[in-house]
Amino acid sequence: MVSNISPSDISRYKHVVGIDLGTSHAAVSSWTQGDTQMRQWKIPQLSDWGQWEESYTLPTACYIPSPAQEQELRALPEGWEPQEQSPLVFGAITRKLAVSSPKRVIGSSKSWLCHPFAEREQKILPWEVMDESVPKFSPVEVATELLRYLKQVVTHGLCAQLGDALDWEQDVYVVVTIPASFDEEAKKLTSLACTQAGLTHVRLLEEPTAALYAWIYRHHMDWKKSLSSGQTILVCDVGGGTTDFSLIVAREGEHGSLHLERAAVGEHLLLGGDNMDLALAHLLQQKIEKEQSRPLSGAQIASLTASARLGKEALLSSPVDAPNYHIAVASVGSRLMQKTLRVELTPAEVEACVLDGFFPLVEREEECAQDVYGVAELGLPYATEPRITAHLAEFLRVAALNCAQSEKFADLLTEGVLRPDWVLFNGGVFSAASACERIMACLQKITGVAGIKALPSLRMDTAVAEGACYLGSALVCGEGVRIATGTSRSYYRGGESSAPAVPGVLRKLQGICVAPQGTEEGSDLPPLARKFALIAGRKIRFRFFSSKLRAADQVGDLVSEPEQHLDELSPLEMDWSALAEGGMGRVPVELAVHLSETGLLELFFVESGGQRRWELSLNLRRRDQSAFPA
Amino acid sequence: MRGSVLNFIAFLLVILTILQLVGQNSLNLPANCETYLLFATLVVLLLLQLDTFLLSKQHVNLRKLAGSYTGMQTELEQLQGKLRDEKMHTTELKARLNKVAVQVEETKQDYAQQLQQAQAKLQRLKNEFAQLEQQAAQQGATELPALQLLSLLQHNGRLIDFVMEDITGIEDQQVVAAARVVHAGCREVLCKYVEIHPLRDEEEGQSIVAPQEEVDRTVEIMGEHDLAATTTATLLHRGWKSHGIHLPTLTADRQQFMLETQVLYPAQAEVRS
Repeated sequence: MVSNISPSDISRYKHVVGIDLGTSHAAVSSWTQGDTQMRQWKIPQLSDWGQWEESYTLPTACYIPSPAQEQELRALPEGWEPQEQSPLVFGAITRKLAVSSPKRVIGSSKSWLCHPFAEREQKILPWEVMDESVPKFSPVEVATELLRYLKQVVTHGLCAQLGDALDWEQDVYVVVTIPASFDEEAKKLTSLACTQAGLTHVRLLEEPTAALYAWIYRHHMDWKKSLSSGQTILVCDVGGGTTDFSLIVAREGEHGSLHLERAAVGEHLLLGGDNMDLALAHLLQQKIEKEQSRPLSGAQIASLTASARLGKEALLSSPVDAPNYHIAVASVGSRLMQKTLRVELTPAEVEACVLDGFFPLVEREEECAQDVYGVAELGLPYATEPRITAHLAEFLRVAALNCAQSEKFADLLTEGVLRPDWVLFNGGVFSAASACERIMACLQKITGVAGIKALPSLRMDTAVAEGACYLGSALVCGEGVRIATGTSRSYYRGGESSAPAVPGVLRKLQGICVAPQGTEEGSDLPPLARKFALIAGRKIRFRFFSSKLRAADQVGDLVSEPEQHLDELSPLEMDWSALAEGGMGRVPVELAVHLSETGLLELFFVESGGQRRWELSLNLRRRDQSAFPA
Repeated sequence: MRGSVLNFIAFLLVILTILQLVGQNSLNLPANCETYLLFATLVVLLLLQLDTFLLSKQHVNLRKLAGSYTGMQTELEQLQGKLRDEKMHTTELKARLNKVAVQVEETKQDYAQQLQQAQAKLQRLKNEFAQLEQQAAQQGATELPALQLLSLLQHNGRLIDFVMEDITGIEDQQVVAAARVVHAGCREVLCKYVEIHPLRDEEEGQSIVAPQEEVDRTVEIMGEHDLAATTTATLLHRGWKSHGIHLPTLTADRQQFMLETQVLYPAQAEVRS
């Protein structure tokens, strides 16, 4: 398990590594004690057959080589550091391979990691590929291999720099970013992948918070001039495949210093820049196929999607009356001039498809469209609602509801509405100025006030890794800015209410709060008053819930009808039968809750008046299948 | 010997007998002993006869031995003759052996010479091979990046397709469409792998000072130009400069494949399932 470290010995780490484990791309940066600058690592990767290049980002898609391809895909150029054997191939080549042999490419494995209904520790990827010659992998295994790859890059780089071996166990502190919306299970699986990849001292950090850390790092001299106490920052992170919102508030500290606190995080949304490119490509494909009867080949569609992305970026960054963007889809054969297909993308189309499709101006009370079908296929739970602004409106509404209950954050509301003062954009989509402008215009409409400002943007593709590294170095040095985060949710265990047994009437289920929102990493929570007895030979099982709407709940508070008011997670289990200890019939215990330094919630049974303790673990395989969306 | 002793005893006994008979017991021998004496004489004579018989027997044996000795001597002589023959034969063989040894020595020398020649030849070939290898490497070193850049321009920008296609009779619109593919792709390749910058910062059409040194070949001067005096010239083209070419690194296997097959763009085929 990921070890716990006390703040006192955190300073012993010589190196900090920040890893951005994005949905579409990964990046890694590091910092060494005594350095003033962080180092962004160029990641060596296979970019084509037998061709190696270095790039700051590594696509997270991976390829499963066939036995015949194995040798060529594993060969390295002369003088390159040998790599650990991995059953998977990473690198920019996967983009090309996704077109030629899509069955062997595992795309958004991270989205599977947080898929609540998939068996995430089972070998389920590539999804729905029935070919027996293609071995399968679990989402955790893919994440492990990816982390191992990045770990090697840092090992080789730092070893060359130090002229000495790197001891990951002793000297390296790792901060790995995850979406703010990752649930307890996805966090646990990410942490498991880290452990399996040999990263021993790991802290998980939310991506939007990391983006803000990166902004602070870039403006460490004057960031406090931009912000004043009570102001809020909306971090708007739209990546290739995911959208993540967070709200962070600046507060005046004891000595007039400013500190930051995360007040709310959004839902997990599988919606991003790729959706926009696909929408445009679909539009263009229809235009082309109207003129010619032959359907486009896979390679042509891929090329069309890539061109659509360039066209989108070009037109979104240029004035409304810009000329059409010409797109040519190269022929499949060698007769380029005769067979190349032409299509034009107009600024109006981009505005209609991307800006109005994904960033329309919405009202404060705009509802997100829900899944209209009764049964969802067990593919990835892509967002049904494509309007990012509608999700933003919902995020602000939900966050306002949550803040209203909290003593800490109630003052952020003006007439029941959250009004962010600043917006920090992160993600490739926002390299287009008009996407940012739309968000700003929409915020004005939702909040009803003008004057919301955008913080200057960062170098988009590496900002999150940089932010992660910044937090690590701040922890190791014991100085620098910290954004207080803690848990974004409150957690509840299911229990029966005490009522006399009546035949035919089930006792009502109650949610009992075991960890309130904002519980800080590394803290122990007060034990519940209720005592339990462990009976040898029996399994212990609790239903487990969480909520991001109940900031007011404290440890021990009860919630009636938890199925309706709370989100159910996998059950908590402990197999006491395996712990058959001689002569122990019943052991009186208390339930203790601890939030680890990594950021994982850990629940224990502690022997009353004794020393022994037993951990309860989330059983990811035994989620109630009736919870399947219907 | 034995015979002589017996003869002597017999003689003594005869004397004694005679004396006894004649001498009338002058010796004071008991009376009537002459009978015993005679008897003893007879016994001795008998023994004498027996001895003579044995002796003659020995004589026969001796003669036999002498005969076999003579035979053996003859045999020895024969053997000696044979030995002489053998000795002669050995000498002959020795002589032949010497001859052969001489021959072997000669052959040895011959072979050594041949070996030396072969070694020299091998060394020559080795040197030639090394030279060829070096040439190949040099050729590879110059050829490989060229092949690689062409391949990248074709892969990403379809440059070879564009240039090799017959352009006659193709409508301008189609040429433009293809040119967009080539432009976008080749531009990406050049921007990514070659640091291309304009050589001159001035705008085209502006006046610049013409270089006064003949060695400055970064500006090509059109028209008459007096090197001695400072002259101005109009910039026609800004020129281009590479600040470094950073092609992707290839595996040894890939390099060998490219050099051996000279493939710039593989043929492509699709399996329909």
